[in-house]
Amino acid sequence: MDNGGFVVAAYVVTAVLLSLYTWRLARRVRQARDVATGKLRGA
Amino acid sequence: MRTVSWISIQRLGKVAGLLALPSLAIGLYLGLVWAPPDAMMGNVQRIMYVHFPSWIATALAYVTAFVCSILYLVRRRESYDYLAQAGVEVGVLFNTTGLITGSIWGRPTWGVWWTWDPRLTTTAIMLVIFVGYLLVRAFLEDLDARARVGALVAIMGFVTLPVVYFSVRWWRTLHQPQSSPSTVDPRMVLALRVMMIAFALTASYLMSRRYELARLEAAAERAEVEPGMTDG
Repeated sequence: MDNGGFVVAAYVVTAVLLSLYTWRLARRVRQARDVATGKLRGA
Repeated sequence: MRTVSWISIQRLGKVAGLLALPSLAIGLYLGLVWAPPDAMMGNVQRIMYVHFPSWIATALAYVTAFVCSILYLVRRRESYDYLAQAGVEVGVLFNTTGLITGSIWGRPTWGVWWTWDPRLTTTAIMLVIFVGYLLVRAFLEDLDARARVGALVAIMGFVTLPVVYFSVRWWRTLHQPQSSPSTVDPRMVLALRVMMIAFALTASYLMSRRYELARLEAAAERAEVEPGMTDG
């Protein structure tokens, strides 16, 4: 019995979750940096 | 002192991130191509090379959160709270990938996607507690209360980690107990170890980025509450 589909599914799900989190985290850091810079400049 | 520790975390994170990519590439090759299929399970056993490393990354992140939460309660330095937040969030990510890959592995080997087995149930409880940590922090407005309550929840959540680990020995369970490298083909052991290192490096990189985010968010909040105050 070939269960290759389950192997592909496990690797794809892991890759998608890790990539999405990394991308979203990078975006959140960029936005927070912009906000912090703006607020400190305005203070 | 705070600046020094921040720079160290940032540098370590960058190094971990740079090392994580080739480690992942090598680990994927070893696990998917080089290592032989399992004698009983065949190729589906290759899920192990992402499933088990997910738990190594989860444990690394939750241990970081636990240690930093205790340090925060003792020393009250905000950098410990930032690192604890990072540990919990990254831990939740890998806890989720571990549960999902385990479920995908369970279907062809056990015949079910999910069962209320002691290992699976304790792992799900651990995830719920740490998701609770993130929710509690989102609802509390006071910075100090958020850090204190968060630290207590993280310490409470960490108690589940040894329970998860020993659950396969304490109770009758579908999940296999910890196996010894001496009973496994050396190629499988090497592929698994490379992936464990790759996932630990990835988790370390993500925690360093999440630490930076927590630091920036706290600096912005403080600037809002106390105009003119800046973070070092």
